[in-house]
Amino acid sequence: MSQHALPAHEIAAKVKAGEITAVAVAQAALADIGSQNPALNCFTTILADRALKDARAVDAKVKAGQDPGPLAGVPFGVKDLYDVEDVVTLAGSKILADNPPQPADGLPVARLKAAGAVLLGCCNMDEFAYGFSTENMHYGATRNPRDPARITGGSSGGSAAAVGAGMVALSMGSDTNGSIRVPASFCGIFGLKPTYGRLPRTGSFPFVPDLDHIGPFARSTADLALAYDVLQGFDASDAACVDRPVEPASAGLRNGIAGLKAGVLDGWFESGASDDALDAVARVAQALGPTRKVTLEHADVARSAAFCITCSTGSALHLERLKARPQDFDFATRDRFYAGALLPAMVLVRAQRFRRRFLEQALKLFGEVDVLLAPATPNVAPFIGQKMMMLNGVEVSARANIGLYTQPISFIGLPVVTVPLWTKDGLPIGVQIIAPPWAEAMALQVAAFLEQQGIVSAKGPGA
Amino acid sequence: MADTPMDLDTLAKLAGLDIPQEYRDGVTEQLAPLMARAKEVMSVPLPDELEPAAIFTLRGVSAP
Repeated sequence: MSQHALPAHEIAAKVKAGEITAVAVAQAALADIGSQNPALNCFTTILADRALKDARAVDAKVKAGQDPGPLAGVPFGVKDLYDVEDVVTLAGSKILADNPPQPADGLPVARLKAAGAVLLGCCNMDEFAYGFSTENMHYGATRNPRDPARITGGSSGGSAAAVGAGMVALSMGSDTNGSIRVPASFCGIFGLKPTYGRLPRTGSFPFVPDLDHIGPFARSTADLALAYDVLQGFDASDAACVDRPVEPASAGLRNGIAGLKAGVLDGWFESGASDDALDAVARVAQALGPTRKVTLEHADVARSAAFCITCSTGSALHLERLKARPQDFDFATRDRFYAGALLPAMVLVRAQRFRRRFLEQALKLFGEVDVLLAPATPNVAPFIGQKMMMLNGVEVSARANIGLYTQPISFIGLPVVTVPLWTKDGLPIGVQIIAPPWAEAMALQVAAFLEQQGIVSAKGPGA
Repeated sequence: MADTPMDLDTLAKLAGLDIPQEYRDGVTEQLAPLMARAKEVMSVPLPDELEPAAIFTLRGVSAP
């Protein structure tokens, strides 16, 4: 195995011990990107010079006897809505390409770099993060590393595919309605959508600030927790960021699940799910011991409310661009933003009021169980260009329905770890481990237990 | 919450938008599911005392 394809924590340990150099890891990763990216289209910008410069700085610290950080030499990529010094933040759009390059790294990138991680490039996404497929009209479709005929999911598809393909050990995505959890499910990797307000989004391009989260992708729970720990810490520049102490998750990852009470969400979260999705949830539930079915009432309305808030708020953000350059939008994004601009304000107020009610209902459930389980996606990854999919025996729009089970959860900001399972056909499908607010560490602990039991793994059959 | 072309114009003007003719079919297509979801949101009874969850904060802001 090439050294860049090792788990992030192993790369960091070997770099710190002087067994391998960060430069050698970066060079191997860049070569792999050069080899795989033309076919998969994960990266829209490759930062070879920067990567080698940062890697040399890590090696210099090791040589000088200084601590290079917990992610020493770990190669990573970011969704191209993260600000990166000297790079234009595209957010998957053609319109933003006219903006000047960023004068500095955004906070998440800076924190990862300070921890010794080495940024290799920016990853493809749906335009303005509005989509679940990463079939970008301007920059092309990203192909699924598990089956290149299929989509990666979105909107953080490039980031997820880069990790799934082994080009980088870690990557960063963002999740407004499921954009970390959906691609994690389709690409067979782990993804963390933290509690709303946990990780500062400072230095990332917004979509729906009221719903936007950032979070990491990785091929193991240890790596996911490592990245999450580095990214934590209050920042007042993000109005939604909550001033809470850093609560590291790595240390407790192997504490087991003694006494854990898990609930399987039924109703909305089972309706329309494929046998593959239901089987994946059943396997996770079985491994966690006795579980019970629980109902989150009005999840359908929550999904609709999230849909309305997204369409309207996203539209408001882009209204001037919509007026000035409608021809430069991806048509699917443009038409939805136009529609969002026409939504009566009354609906938004109602949706936000309902949001409080729905959160109260979810919190009640957490009085009965510690974590909730649900499919991340209703089925395995559709094919590139596939417009429709089957849901409850009815043919429906694939784009509009992939986030069926993720939207109600991000609507109320609950932390979720998506864990990868594999179907009998060898395709990945994810399960959401949903925790109460601020209990990311517990969700990661449950995911780590499942990984230790061999129930979930980023290694597909035959890997 | 109608989706006829006439309503499209009226609503678009309120937002200061002039939706080009060639995009109207696509917008109408997107408007239909959006309005269906809006109807669903409006249909749930809520108690009067329930406040919206939208975020507004004066954290970090001091008097001039």
